[in-house]
Amino acid sequence: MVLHKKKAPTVRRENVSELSGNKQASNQLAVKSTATPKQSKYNHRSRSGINGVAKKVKKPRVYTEKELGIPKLNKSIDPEGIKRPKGKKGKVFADEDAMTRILLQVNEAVDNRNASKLERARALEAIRESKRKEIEAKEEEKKQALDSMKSEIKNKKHKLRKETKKADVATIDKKSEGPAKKRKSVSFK
Amino acid sequence: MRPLTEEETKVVFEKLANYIGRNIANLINNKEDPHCFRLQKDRVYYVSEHIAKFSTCIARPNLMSLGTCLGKFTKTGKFRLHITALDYLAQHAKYKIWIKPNGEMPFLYGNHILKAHVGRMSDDIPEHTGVVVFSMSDSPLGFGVTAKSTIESRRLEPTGIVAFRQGDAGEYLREEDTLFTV
Repeated sequence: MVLHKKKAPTVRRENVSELSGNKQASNQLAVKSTATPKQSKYNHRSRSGINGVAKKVKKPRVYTEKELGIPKLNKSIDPEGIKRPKGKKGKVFADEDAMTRILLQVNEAVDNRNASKLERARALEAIRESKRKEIEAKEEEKKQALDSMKSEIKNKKHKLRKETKKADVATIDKKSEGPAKKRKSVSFK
Repeated sequence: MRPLTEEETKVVFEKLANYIGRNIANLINNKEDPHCFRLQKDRVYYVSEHIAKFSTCIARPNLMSLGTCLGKFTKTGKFRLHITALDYLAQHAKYKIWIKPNGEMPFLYGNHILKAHVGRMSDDIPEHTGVVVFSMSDSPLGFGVTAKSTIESRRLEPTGIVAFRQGDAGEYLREEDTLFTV
């Protein structure tokens, strides 16, 4: 029979430096180096692991407002109540009905324009015509007045002449009256 | 090649209505040989539907022209009638001017129509309206826009302009390079 001596358990003691415990001491004895910290060659943030295999980084899940059930924010740029048409802006080709509708619209506009032009032209023409007639009537009046004056003057002259002629004739007659002329008689004996 | 949109159709019809008025309906509602408007690059063509269907087989860069070219859209979106549309304009013209033989050559050389050259004209033509110009033998020479109405043009002096030239048959020679291509 072998008797084993019981071994005392090994006492473990930690060897703690006073420098680490005492702040003042560590402050005074600390070596302050002016060198810049070494930049490591490797990007510690890279995903590659030990063998170059990418690590799977799990992002925390972001919930949208819809999923959370929050109502849409009413901004001035994007008000909530107004609905704008979405989708690609495309061309709307004119089919037969559209062409007929456009034709009617265009015809109406052109007819109105032409009618108004014609009306205006006729109105202007009527005004011009009436002005022309007025001017002609005035000229006719003036002419008539002139003619009447002319004829008046002529008549006066004519009268004067007549009167003077009469007077002359009367004086000549008186002079030439004298002995009465014997009438010739014819006898058939 | 594609059909016209509603805005483009409106612009084209406004221009055509200036010259042919309500007779645009004859262009659209042709039951015997239905025609349609097609746009290739910026030119508007009036072509029978039968030929338009064939032309869909031709690639866009290879398609030069089809049917009758009525005109083209400018960069600002306005529509300009070309002389190639004269055939249809003459058939359905609303207002006409006939010019004397001594006035034909000046017109075909690109000058405006003077009163001395006018043989006869339709009654009641308003001012600034599209007219189609014919010779005294009723052959179409071109089209233009009236400077004065019929009533006013009777009181014009012989050297007064009755109509401004917009297109004439002489353009086939003068504008040969640009009439069918850009």
